[in-house]
Amino acid sequence: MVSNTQNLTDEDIVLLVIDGDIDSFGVLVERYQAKLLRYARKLLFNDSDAEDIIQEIFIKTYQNINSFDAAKKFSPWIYRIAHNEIINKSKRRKFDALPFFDADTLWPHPVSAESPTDDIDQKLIKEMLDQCLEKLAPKYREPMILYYLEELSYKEIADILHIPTSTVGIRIKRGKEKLQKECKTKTEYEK
Amino acid sequence: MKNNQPQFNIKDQVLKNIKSGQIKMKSKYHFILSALLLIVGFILAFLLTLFLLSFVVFTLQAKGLHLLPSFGIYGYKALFFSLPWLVIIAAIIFFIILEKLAKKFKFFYRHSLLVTFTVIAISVVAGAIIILNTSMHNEFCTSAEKETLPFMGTLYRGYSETPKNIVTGKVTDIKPHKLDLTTKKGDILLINIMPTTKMPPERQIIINDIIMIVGKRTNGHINAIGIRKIDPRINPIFQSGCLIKQ
Repeated sequence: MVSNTQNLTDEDIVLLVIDGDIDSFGVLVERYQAKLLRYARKLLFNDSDAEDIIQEIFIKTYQNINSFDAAKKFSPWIYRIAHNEIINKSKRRKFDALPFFDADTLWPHPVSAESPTDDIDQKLIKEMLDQCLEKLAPKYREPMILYYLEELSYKEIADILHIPTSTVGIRIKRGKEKLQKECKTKTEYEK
Repeated sequence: MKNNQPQFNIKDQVLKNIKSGQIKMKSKYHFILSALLLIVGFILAFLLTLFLLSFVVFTLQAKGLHLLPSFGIYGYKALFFSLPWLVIIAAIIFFIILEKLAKKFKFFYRHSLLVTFTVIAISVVAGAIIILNTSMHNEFCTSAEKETLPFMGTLYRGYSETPKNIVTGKVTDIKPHKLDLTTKKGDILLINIMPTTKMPPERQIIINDIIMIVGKRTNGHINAIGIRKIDPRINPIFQSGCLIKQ
């Protein structure tokens, strides 16, 4: 049964799991484990915490699988669960918690819709994210990771973080600027 | 190999926990019930907010407090101390709860706080206006006076008292620089009109006029700081303790 599921979409596999095919859930774990582990490591800066939380994320995913709407994409849904678990973990560690009041969501931002960045720009940003991510404030870190590393769209990120789509755009724009500034400063300091 | 080990462990561990029954899928009804509770909570918070807002406005109108700003600084001060602050604070709290609950819905979290605040505020104000144009508060108020209104009776009775330095009554006699005013309770008060008394724009006061006096009351005398005529067709506050819609 499991080998047949390799060609199925995530959404179809979820329907199998809901019907009682537990082994199919293992396919979802295989597909998302590496991505979610990378995501968690980037946000928690601690491999041990990241590995702990991955199991909790998949447990929560299974427990709540009946709430998934198969007409929508599975990826933002599981990332939303991951985001919530990571936020809870951060709060318990009292580390880098997101601010209580979020000024960026106060009013609409006239940021243009996402535009494709060229390959060089994308590669450069990924390198900078690897080097200087901890320098970014948490509210910029997550959208940057989801956009550049997990390659999700603005709308998907908005659904994961439960913030307006325009706020996602402004955070990515500002995150990029800050990242370039921080990485430049770090490079100059290392010289 | 080292990179493969966590993959093997996590997947197998999770599947093992599921198959052993340690981890169970929540039923669909759990989520349906949660969604229903959220919707009910949202509607309740909305209704409470607009009830409280309309109650504040009703109270201001019923006691004639909305006329106080026309008395100048003294009137503004009297208005400030007469406002039902506890009810206003409760309305603000429920409004915040309403905003928080709204953010659980896609339409609201996809838009900025300003947009959601505006949409909710307009809805609440519109709802309050609709309620104020019905006889709901009048009927509740009348029932509260008769002590036949459960729960909310305390709320209406608690705000039924007119502020001390504000008196409303009917003019029953006019003398030079003085008026006799008969209140709804039947008290007859002597109103002293001083050179500094702010008179109504219409100036002339005649017998049987319903007027509002702002001034300190001492032993049946009031030195009027300001006088305003009340049109009973618009503000029938003198006829009963509660506002009656004509």
